[in-house]
Parts: sequence; C-alpha cells; structure tokens
Amino acid sequence: MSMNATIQAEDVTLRYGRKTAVDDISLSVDSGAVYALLGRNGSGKSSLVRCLLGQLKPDSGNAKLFGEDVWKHRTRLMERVGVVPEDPDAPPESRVKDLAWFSSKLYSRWQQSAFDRRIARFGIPPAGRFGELSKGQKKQVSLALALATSPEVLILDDPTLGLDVVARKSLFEEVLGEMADRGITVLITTHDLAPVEGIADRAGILKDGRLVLDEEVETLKARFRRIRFTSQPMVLAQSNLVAASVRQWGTGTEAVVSNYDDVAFARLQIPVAEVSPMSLEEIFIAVAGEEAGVES
Amino acid sequence: MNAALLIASRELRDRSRLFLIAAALSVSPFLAALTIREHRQLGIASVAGFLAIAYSCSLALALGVSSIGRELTERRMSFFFAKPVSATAIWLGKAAAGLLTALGALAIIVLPTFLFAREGWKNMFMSGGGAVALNTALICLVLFFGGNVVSTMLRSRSARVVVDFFLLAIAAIAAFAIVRPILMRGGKDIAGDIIVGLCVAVLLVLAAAPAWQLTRGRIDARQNHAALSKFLWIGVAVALIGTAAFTYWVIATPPAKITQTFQFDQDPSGRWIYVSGTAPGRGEYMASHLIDTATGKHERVSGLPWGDAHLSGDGRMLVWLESAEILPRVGTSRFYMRRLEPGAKQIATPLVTRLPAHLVLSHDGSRVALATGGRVEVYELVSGRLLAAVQGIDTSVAYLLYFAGPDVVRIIEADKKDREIRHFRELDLVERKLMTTGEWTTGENRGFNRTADGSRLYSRADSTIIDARTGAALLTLPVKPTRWFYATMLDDGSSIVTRDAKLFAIDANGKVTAEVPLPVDAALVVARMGSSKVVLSAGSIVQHTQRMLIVDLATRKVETSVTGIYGPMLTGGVVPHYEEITAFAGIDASQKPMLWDSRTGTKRPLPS
Repeated sequence: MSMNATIQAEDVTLRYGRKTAVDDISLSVDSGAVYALLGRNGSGKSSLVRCLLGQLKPDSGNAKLFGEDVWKHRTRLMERVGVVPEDPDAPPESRVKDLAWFSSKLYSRWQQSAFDRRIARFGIPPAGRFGELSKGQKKQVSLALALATSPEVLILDDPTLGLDVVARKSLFEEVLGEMADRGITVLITTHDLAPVEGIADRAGILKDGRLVLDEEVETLKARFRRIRFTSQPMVLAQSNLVAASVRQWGTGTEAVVSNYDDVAFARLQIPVAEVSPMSLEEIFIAVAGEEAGVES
Repeated sequence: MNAALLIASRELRDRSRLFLIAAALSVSPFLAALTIREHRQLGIASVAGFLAIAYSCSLALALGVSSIGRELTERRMSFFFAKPVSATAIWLGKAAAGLLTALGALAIIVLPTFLFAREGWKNMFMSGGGAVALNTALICLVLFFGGNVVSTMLRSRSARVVVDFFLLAIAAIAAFAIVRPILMRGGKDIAGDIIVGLCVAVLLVLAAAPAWQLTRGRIDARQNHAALSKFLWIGVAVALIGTAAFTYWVIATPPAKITQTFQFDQDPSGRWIYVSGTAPGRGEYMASHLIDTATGKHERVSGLPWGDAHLSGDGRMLVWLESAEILPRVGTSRFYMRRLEPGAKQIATPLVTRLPAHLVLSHDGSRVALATGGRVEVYELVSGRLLAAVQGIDTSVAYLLYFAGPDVVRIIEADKKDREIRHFRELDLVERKLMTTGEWTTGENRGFNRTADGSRLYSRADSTIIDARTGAALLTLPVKPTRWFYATMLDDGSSIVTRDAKLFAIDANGKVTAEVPLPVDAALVVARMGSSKVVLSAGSIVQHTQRMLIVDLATRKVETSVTGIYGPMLTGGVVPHYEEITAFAGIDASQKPMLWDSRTGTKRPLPS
C-alpha cells in the first residue's frame, strides 16, 4: 500500500447474505491519480465504491479515505468528496436550484458560480424538478453538484451509464477540466473504456467480486499483446508466454498474452505471427470474460 | 445551519403541494355549510375537524412509511449519505419535516374555520374538542413513527420480519402479563398509568430507533431492518423490564405502606392478621397480606379486589377467592385456603364458582356455603365436592346465612310479600333437605348478631334475644340502649348495653350482672377478650374523638383507654372473642393500619 494513498481498500470483503459481492479486495489510489475500476455487471464495483464512501460496512477489512476509516468518520470525510452515483439519487420532487441550495449549506467550499455555469452549459433549467429531467441531465446535475463542492476526491460510479455520445463527451470534458484545474483524485467505475483510457493512471479489473488485475495503465498495455498464428501455436507451450485467452481465428489461432516481451518474442522466430497492441477495452474483455462482451 | 434543520427545510420545500391541498381542503367546510340550515358554525367546525384529522393522519402515515423505507428501497438514501451529514441529523430532519407537514396541514385546514366559525369551535371544545386535538397529534406521532418501522421492516423483504412479528406477539403478551396482576387487584387506574407509560416509552423507542437504524444500516435496506429490529426490541425489552420493576414495586407493597385500610381481621389468638388496603403511589391497587405477628413475617394474598378474605371461626384457616379468568373481568373465581400455621402453604382448591352474593365458612373453615341467584350451595373446600344445594332462596332481601353446626346451614330470609316477616330455615347437609323451622316479625331491619354456636339471635331493632331455630322470643334486654348499636349480644349469649356513662353486663337469662362507670356516655362493643373483658369503641374517628376502652367486668373497671385508633374491627354476626392478647389490629384517623397494645395503648406500625 502506498503511504500517499488517498483512497484505500484493505482486504475488504462484503457479503449480501450468502453471496460475496466483494471478496478480499485491496487497492489504493494515490493523491491526484485517476483510477479506473472495471468490471462487468454484478462484479462488485458499486458495492466496493459504497464501502469506500462509508455507505456500506465491510464484513471484514477497512475502507479508508485520506488515511481514515470511512465508516467511522464518514460525516467529516464527505466534506472533501464529490460523488456521482450510478443511479441518480436526488429526491425527484426537488428543483435543481434547491438541490444546489441544500449542498451550498453543507459544503464550506461550495462554488455557486461554478454550479450555475455548468448547469447553463448543460442546458438544464434551474427551476426544473430533478425527477422530470432526462437520465443524461440527471447525471449532469449530479456531476455539477459534485464538482461545485470543490472536492479533493471525485468518485464516479458508472457515470456514463445510459448516456448518449454527446452527454458522455460533455461529462468527461467536465471531469478533465476539473482535473486539469485542481488535480483532484478520481476513482471511476465504468464500462465506457475509451475515454478512461486517455485519463486513467491505473486500472483495476473486478471479476466475481475479486480484483483480478490492478496495475498502471501503461504497464498493462505494454505487457498485453494479441498474437495471431497461422497454425496451432505449439510454440506458446514451449515459450514462457502466459495466454490470457486463446481462440480460433480463421484457420489459425489468436492468443492474448499477458507478459509480452519484444526481445523474448523475437527469439522464438515465428515469421507467420502477427503481433498487435491492445486497447484497455480489449484487455478488459480478455481478462473479465469475452463471452458476455462489454455492456454499452 | 444545523444539518437536521437543513434537511427538514429541504423536505418541506418539496412538499409545497401537500400544503396547497390542505389550503384547498380548508375552504371545503364553508362550501359544505351552504347545505346546512341550522347550527351552521358547528357544522363548519365539524367538517373542518373531520377533514383536518383525516388528512393529517393520512399524511403522517404516508410520510412515516416513505421517509426512510421508500428511499431505501428506491436507493435514494445515498443522496444524504454521500454528504457531510450524520445519520442522526438525517432522521431528525426527516422526522421534523414529516411531523411539521402533518400538523401544519391540520393547522391550515382548521385555521380559517377557527377564525370565521369560532362559535362552532367553542362548542366543539366544550364537548371534548381539546382532547380530540391532543389525541390527533398523538395519533399522528404514532402513525409517523410506527409507519416508518413497519415500512422499513416490510420493504426490506427479509425473513427477519417473521422474527419481528413473533417478538411483537411476545411483547404484547409480556405487557399484558406484567399489568394483569395489578388489574386483577383493582388497580385499574395505576394499570392505566403503567400502560400509558409503557406506550410513551415505546413511542420514544420508535422515535429514536431510526437514528440508530440509519447509523448502522445507512443505505442497505436489510442492514437498516436488522439495526432497527435490534434497537426496537432491546428498547421494548428495557421498557418492559422497567414496567415490570414498577409493577413489582406496586405488587410488593408491604403492610406498613398501606394507608387506606379496606379489611383488617385478626384471629382469636391475635397472632394472625389479614390486612388489605391501598398505598400511596399505587393508585387503587389493593395490597393484601397475611401477617404473623409472632415473627413479623408476612405473605401476599392475591384475592379479588374489594373481596373479603375470611378467617374461620376457630381462627385456624384463611379462605379467599382469586379470579380464575385470564382477563380482568367478573367471571369465575377459585377458592384458596391457607392454614394459619407457620410455614403453611397457600392451597388452590378445585372449587371454582361465580362470585357469590353471600359466602360463609363453617367454624373450622373446611366448608363453605354460597348464596347467589336464588340458590344456596354448600361445598367441601379441599375437594370442591358439592354437599347440598337448594333453589328458591331470595338472596336479594334482608338475609342471614351461617353454619349452625358442621352439617347445618341456617338461612334467614325475608318473606317475599311481607318484608317484616323473617323465615327461619335449615339446610341439613346429611339429609340434603331444606326445612322451615320458624319465623320472626320485626319492625325495622337492623339485622341480628348471634352466639358462637348459632343457637341464639339478638334482634337489634327489638332489643330481643330469640331462639335461632324457632324464632321464639327468649328475653328482652332489661336495659334499653339510647341507640340500637349500643347494645350487643356476645358470643356466649350474654349482652352488653352502654348508656348514661355506664356499661351494663347482662347474663344469658336477662339479669344485669355488673354496672361499670365509663368515661364516655355510650360505646359500641367490638370484641370480647379473655373470660371477663370487653373491648369498646367510642366517639368518631373522623372527628378525631375516637377512643378504645378495655373494660374488665370482673373488677368492674376501665383497664385501658387509648385515643386516635379504631380496632379490632367488628365483622360478621358474631362478636369476636379474643384470647388475652397484647397486640390488637386497628386503624388510625387516616385509616392507616397499625397495632396497639391492649395494656399500655402504645401504637406500632405493621411489619415492612
């Protein structure tokens, strides 16, 4: 664990009855870093996020923010955290301006002008009731509320779920702008991997409640390769390459290896092989399971 | 701004529509009044009152159900928990907003009619409208807090709800079991206070539980349910334990705490005392004890409230009735008995009966005669066996019933047509036969007192001693009392009359055997002591002129004179005959029971 960690999970396990939603997970996000937490539906992302926000109590382990137990000190710590929830949770009867008024009284660093600017930019009427807004607008209001609190940590739980392309783009632009201006720490869970790939410093992949991968994005992309063979890859068995997945590709075979090394691979002298780098999304599919694909 | 106030303010802002509906409803009583011709103002107030109660109660329930439960299931509670507000502030804010909405709506509906139909409201308040308003506010509280609890439990869809219903049933049974002993002993007022106290305690638990629920459960519906259940049932258990402790304090009232005496009897040896009465802070709960004055030990006797316990004539048995009903109502009762011996146990007999109009014991307390509903029944107590029964006795008129021997019950009843005629009858328990043995005609109904063997009766109205079997007049007292209660026949057939500051002792043949000067003009004989002494009561205990005298007929002197106390009590038809005892049971001017020394007149309290 990093001594500089702003967000920390230490051996966190969370169960719902007999079902284990989060299974002994440890991760940390350094101050100013962007961490992308990836996983399929039901993999435990939101449960882990709720533990990290002090909303759910882990059955074992500790969730910490700024080095403090978030379950015990949630009230104080939330002053420094902005949250965009997976499902917009503001009261549907509330008007947008009333939500801002409510938040302005709770946060000492509330920026009313920043909120007003964003709402205007999103084209959302301040007198509109939250329950009458579109899903995209609700997400935008949630983001505007979270960013106006001048948070040191921003937690985005699947912020683009259900949004159209334009809304996704504007949402990420706001986050990027805030990061550029203030250097906040961001934890984002998402299925929308393309925009995250450009901003995430580190990524973790959850599968069935377990953190199967937790690594710097650049390192991750450097060691994963797709290799296509024109015949059966007998050579794989003879080499020290670790295949994350292997499948038929035309008459040949396609393998995703997770410990690719240019020098070592050249030594194998396979002229027919085609080696290509992989995107974060491709790596996610290879690790988290291709059969179900990635939800959009 | 305080977080709770802020949340309350936010919630109220969202409920402007509910207040608009209330404003619309406030107009409707005036529209309804257009159809009323007479008592229009009262009609307006009545319609407004009904609408206000119905709307505010509905709101309280709806808001109680939705404030937390609905937000949990619709996953909106994270809105608050993602902000720097405590769980307690969330609940306090929501509760304040919910209750203000319900009570504010009530005020909005009522206010215009209160201003424009004041007379109607005045009439309503005079007929209990104030209590209705208070009760409405209380009902709103119960609906709001109760609605939240039920909603949280049901919406969690957890199997734990089965446990909750089970615990609810247990709590209800426990509450009843705790209060029942007090109800069964006449303490309806204190039981009512206990129930109100328990309800207030439970309401406080219901009000406080959600703060704990949200602190522990936060956004998880099932964890909320688990935390709520834990707090609720522990709180209810604590309230029940507190109630049980208070109930125990009431039930365990020691004899020394009794200040209002209902019954105070003493056996002939003077050792055993039965006392029942009420004590401060215990309402009308009737504390009853059997006291062994030799050891100072006392034990609780759980007889019927306002029902006598009966000492047998030989002073060896105490018999009483306890309710055989689960609910505190007049129904069947069971006979209990206890031998007046150290270490003896209270025995529940198999005899269960409806509360009789008349109940008498045989001399040794082994049998009981009951008269009620025109029927006289005689039972053996230990076995509950019916020994004999007769129908057609009018138990509603002047009446005397007693054991004239182990196997004979004498029944004296008024004639159904001529109330001045008394019919003397005997129920033979061996033959199981009712016989008419004689009659007596008297001018006034002053009742009789009798000898210990039941062979003679003294008719107080006529100053005449008669044969108890035949009704034949045996003698008329040679000295007439100035008032009927200043003449008494003793257990051995001799009589005492007091008048003109003198006591006249008259033997069984009607001869004056002694004249004793008294320090009072006249006195009432309450007991006989030893072979030659009588205990008299003079003056009024209420007017603080009460005086007890012990007169020795052998020495013809007043042996003891003590003021400010009354006792032993004169009960039943036979003047009690005590042995030479030192401690008499008596009550002071405030009806507090105590003991007094027959030689020195010194008073001392009952054991505590």
